[in-house]
Amino acid sequence: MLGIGAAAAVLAGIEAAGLAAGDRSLGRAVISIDAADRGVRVDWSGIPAQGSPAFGAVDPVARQALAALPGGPPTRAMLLREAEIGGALTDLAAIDDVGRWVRLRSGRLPRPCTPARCEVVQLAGTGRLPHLAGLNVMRVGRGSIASLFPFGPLISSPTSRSILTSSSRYHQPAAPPFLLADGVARLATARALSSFQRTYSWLLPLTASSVHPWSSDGFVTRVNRARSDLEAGGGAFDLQAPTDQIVEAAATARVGQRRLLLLGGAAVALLLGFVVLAAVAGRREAHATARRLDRLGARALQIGLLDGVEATAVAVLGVALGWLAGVGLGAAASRHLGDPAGAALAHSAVSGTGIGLAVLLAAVAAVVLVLTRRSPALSFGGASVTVVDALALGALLAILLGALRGDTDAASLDRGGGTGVFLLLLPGLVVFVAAVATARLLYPSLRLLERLARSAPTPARLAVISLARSPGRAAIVVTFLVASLALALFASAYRSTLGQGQSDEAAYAVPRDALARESLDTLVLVPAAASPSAYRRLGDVAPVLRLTGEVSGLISSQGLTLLGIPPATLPRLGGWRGDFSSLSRSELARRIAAGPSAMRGTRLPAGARTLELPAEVRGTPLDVKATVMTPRGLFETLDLGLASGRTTLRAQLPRPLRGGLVVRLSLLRAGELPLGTNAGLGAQPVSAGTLRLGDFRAGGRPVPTDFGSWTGGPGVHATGSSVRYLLTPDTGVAIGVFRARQPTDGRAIPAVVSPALADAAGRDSLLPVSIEGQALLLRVTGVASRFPTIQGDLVVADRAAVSTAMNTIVPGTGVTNELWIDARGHSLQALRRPPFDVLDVSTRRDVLAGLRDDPLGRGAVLVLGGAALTALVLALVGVLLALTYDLRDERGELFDLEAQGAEPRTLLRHLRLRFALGLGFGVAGGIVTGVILGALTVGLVRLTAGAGEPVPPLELAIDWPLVGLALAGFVAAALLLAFVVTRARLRGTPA
Amino acid sequence: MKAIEIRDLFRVYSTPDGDAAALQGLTLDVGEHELVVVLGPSGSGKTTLLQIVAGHERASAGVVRVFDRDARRLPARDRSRIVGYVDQHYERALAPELTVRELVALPLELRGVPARAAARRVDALLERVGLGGRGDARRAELSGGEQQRVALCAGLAHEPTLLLADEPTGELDAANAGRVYRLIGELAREEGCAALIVSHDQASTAIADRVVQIRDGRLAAESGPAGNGASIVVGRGGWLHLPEELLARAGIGSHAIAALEEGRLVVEPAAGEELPVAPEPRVDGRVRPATEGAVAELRAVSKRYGATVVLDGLDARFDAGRLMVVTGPSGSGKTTLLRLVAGLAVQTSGEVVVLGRELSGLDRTARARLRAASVGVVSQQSGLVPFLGAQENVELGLALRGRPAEERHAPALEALKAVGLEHRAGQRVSRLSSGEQARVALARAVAARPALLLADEPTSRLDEANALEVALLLARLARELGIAVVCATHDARVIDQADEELALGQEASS
Repeated sequence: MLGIGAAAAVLAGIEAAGLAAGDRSLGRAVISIDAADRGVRVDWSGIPAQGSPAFGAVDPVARQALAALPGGPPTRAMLLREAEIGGALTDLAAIDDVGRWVRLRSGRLPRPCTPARCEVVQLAGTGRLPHLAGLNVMRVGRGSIASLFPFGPLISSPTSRSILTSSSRYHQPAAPPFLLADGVARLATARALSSFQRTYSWLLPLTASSVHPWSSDGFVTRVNRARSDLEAGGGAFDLQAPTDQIVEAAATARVGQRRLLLLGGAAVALLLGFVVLAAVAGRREAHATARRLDRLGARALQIGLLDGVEATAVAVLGVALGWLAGVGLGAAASRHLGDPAGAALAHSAVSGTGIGLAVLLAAVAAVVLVLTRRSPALSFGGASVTVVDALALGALLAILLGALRGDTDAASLDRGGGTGVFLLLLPGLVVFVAAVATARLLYPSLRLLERLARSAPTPARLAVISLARSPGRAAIVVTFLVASLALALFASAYRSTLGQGQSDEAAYAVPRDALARESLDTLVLVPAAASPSAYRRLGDVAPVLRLTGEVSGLISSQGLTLLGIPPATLPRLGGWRGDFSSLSRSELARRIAAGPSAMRGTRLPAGARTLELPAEVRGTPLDVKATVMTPRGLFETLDLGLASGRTTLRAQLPRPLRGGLVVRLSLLRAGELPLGTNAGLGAQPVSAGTLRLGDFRAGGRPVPTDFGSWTGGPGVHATGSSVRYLLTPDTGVAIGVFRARQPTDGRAIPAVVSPALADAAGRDSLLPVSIEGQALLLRVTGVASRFPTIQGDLVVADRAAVSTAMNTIVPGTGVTNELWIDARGHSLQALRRPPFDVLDVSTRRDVLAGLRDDPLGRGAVLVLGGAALTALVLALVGVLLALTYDLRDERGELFDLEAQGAEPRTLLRHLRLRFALGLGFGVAGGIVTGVILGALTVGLVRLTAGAGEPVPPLELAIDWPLVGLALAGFVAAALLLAFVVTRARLRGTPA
Repeated sequence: MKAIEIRDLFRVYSTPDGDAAALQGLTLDVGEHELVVVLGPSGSGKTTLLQIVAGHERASAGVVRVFDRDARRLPARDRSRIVGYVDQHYERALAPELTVRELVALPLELRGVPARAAARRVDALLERVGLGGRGDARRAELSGGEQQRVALCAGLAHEPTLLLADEPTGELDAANAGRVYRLIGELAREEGCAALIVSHDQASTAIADRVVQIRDGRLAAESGPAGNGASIVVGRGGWLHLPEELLARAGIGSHAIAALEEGRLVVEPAAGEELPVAPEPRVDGRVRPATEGAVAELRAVSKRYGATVVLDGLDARFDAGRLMVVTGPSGSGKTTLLRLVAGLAVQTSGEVVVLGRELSGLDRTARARLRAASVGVVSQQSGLVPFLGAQENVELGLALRGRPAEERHAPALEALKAVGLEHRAGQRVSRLSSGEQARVALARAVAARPALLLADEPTSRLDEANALEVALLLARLARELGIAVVCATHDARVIDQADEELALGQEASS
């Protein structure tokens, strides 16, 4: 009963804790929804003066439609957006219960707005207040809005940003004043505003506790119904709700819960294991009782009824007590996860379904108990096969079939069905098969051991004989140990695997301490955000280039990511695992090294403020532009002016370009050109001629330029400094390019690629790819299935080479867009401050903290840890009980041994050795089974701790020191208890 | 109408060593109110016969009819009404958690008898067997004889028309056994039911209307009341099973000649037949120098278990080279006495001296060492390891006594020779007969040549032939090896061989 109750407690606890974790996860997902979208809103727009329904007509319709949704009644808001009111451009808004939405900085909150005195608080923008006949607007305070939800989607970006931040680094157009009044009804009906377009909003903000996993489906249904009601009611209502995000978050929560039920399945296996073992232990007694009753004339039905009632009583009482304990555990876990215990319990362990599950569990346990106790063994070829053996064979078959079907992922588990159910039962099946196999193998093993121990000291021989004499009893203890320790090891291994998975995931996402990239908000290029010296002060900074592309025609690939990385960074790179490639990191670095690949051109002196280029054009005049790579690696185009006849092209050098590298000259047609035919394609303008160039002069000083090392693009042919050009825009040669030859010209860039791309490589391992629309030629020098920060097909190459190659084709497309930083000192904090705060910075520490803080992840780790501990304790209690019963039942044998002359010391040693032998078998079997189970589960269940798709895939990670310590502690505790119990047993006289 | 009608009954079992026939064409009738006792040695098929009649096993072939109804097709409800069963292992038949009254009432409740009627019947039965005042006692509070009487009441509570009893006194002493048999006879006749009693105890014939003997799965002989007028049963096909004693006295070994002379069938040894030599326990011919005087002595020994006084001021002396039997009813302290002498229990008062050493002055280890050196014990539960051979078991016993490995082989073989099992030395104990297992236990006890051998009911589960063999062996061990042998028993065959008898507890078990 103890075992049944414990397993039921684990199952109930897991159910409740899993749901609580899922609830928290869903709550966090709701909170993570953009503030402007975090709620259900109904908007209506119109102009009363144009005949649109009045506020009083639309308001009841909207409120009625939203009545069934949580968080009601809705808050009403109104906005006249960027309206020119009384000659002033204004955002004039109103909201009910203004105090809830405003953080006051100065003045006071407005009183309810009336046309005679419409008090407002200014939340953003600048400009004069509107003055309108019939509406007296008076500002009574300044503040900021507490949430973007009421007006976020309705206002402009500058205003939005203005509302969010007190200042902006970069100059933005001034936003109009955003004025907020209290109370929608009065403002909505103000006659002075009747000709202005306004939007009314009815708002139901969502909080972390608005939607729960058990109500998410209902929430979506009610939103859809509300939408239908509004559309059916006519009028231009628009209902918005983050149903997609909620559905996705609910699915993730559901998957996380189901994955936790892996442990539930193992707990059920333990339950059934206890039931079976108890049944086997009580089989003889059951048969004796049945025989006794049969002799007394009881009918088969009466005997069966007795068995059934006995079994049912044990099962029901065990499950009931266990379930109660599990409810307590679940409540504690919920509180630990920060979720109100009652709600999760009410929808899990103590719900109708939960109680039903408990009843089903008790029924199954009772049936198994009865069947195992009463069923006869069948003989097959001299070996007897019991119901337990048949069940184990069936379980083994199920495991093999399931493994053949392959792994599954979140979607499969979410869908449930066969695969999901199988995976949930997997731990239980494996443990059950292992336990039965152990029991079957034990007797021949003991007999073999007995033969080997014939010359062993007497206590050892006695111990082995004693075990071999009663293999059934030994099997009970050993299989119980195997089941408990396997579950403990599996739970511990899976927990450490998930934990390691989180570390791997964080390292995969941020391979070094921090990763900085361009922010989509500020759109500041990485090299532009700060000077190289400022970056160097942060620590070891690796410039990285990340681009996307494809291999045309490769159906198996959905695009690729090209990562240009300094080879020297690779050997120390985090996030790498040996299973990504057969090549080591050092070898990978060697294989992608492309040699010197820095951009070449004409270096301009750092102090030069002007740039001149003597030029002589014979032919069509040209506009000449110079492309300069700045010292920070950015590219800017300098207009050198019109080249016509003999002239000196000239431009001022802005500060960022000083000290830069002139890498190309672009020749564009200038002015009206004579028309000419071209290959019968019709008339088109052309420009042709010869351009002779002198040396650059920067700051008045000549800068020697070896134009002999430059080359022309299509339409441009150069011999030294003499450049012949023929530009035909209609055939794609609108701009002639004359540029410095680059180290990557005509060379394939060595790259490590993913297997699908490697398979697509042609002769000499050459692989043409299209990167950001530009053609690039790679030479495949190695294969890796994964690389940190990349999902999908990958190309990893020398950053310098890629950068030069891309910038050669289109300057600026190969500019460093990421920095991978090994931080020094407190530089991680520095990354949050100017000048780096314009970048999007991720730190590995933050990513890892976020993963570990995920409620589903915490829930999984908590449950797994608890399960491991529970299983260990159960194992200890179980062996102690078994030892106690053994000593009680073997009084006769012990008495006989002592009668034959065995000293108490010999008996003690024999008892302890026997216990240790059984313990050894059980521990060994438990370890093997636990490792197999862990490997199978990790291999088949592709889920992170947070129930997401793991990148990289999980790898079984057993914390052997912890496992060793726990096992050592368990063994030590068991041996100590055995020592004490056996000593107590042999105290006094035998009789 | 006959109560039981059996024709050509066969029962064959499948075993790992092949098929074994427990019954081979047995034919037997039992009259409607007849009490028949079935005697036979171990393995003769007596219990199998009873199990088939009771419906607990199915016959392989033959006809079994109970009150003119095919036993195979008898519905369970009818069977439970007709048949009452008394098992030989009474403690297995009685649930430990129920009181005496509940135990006897259970068969009635199972058959739906109203509670009041059941209570009346129970009280009457208990009164009849002398347990009227023990209705609230539980099994553990009863003696062996009392428990078997309760089992008998439970078997008869529902007024069956056929009573089946399987070795009902197998675990009782002679006095209790006689009492139980008498009760069975009286109750069966009072209830008017037929009875089929299986036993190996000759005492059971005293109550029988007819006694039949089974050998090798067939009816061998039949006799009238109290075993008078025995006749050999002629089986189908003319099979006769002649008693071994007769054969031995006629000098018939493995071959005989049968001839008709003047209307008589004469059986005589075949020409050139050698008289088989009856296997007797062999001795090595050496007589161990006897220990002078008493090997063990009890001086005013008392032993109390809680409030129960088992031994009260007992004086006894056990000399070398003699077989002393300790007799007495169940609960008289026979086993306790042996344990005190073995040092496996400590007396409440008095002195127990073994080989000159007072045992209460020794700690547990010292007493174990004394046993290892000088005392052999054969307890009721032999503790032999079933999957080890006979010699291996004996050697294990020597190992327990601290004998080094090189000093175990020869003494073990010698001990097995002494008990006549040297040809079975390598046989697994589980494949030996019960008698052979008892002899292995004896060999294990004497292998170390102890000065004192203590045996507790060594023949309790043996049939007559095996019991006689063991009794003779005990006597020979005492006389020829000079061992002081003390045997607690109620077996008359052992008592007959004893040099002395120590009778404990004169009052009968209630």
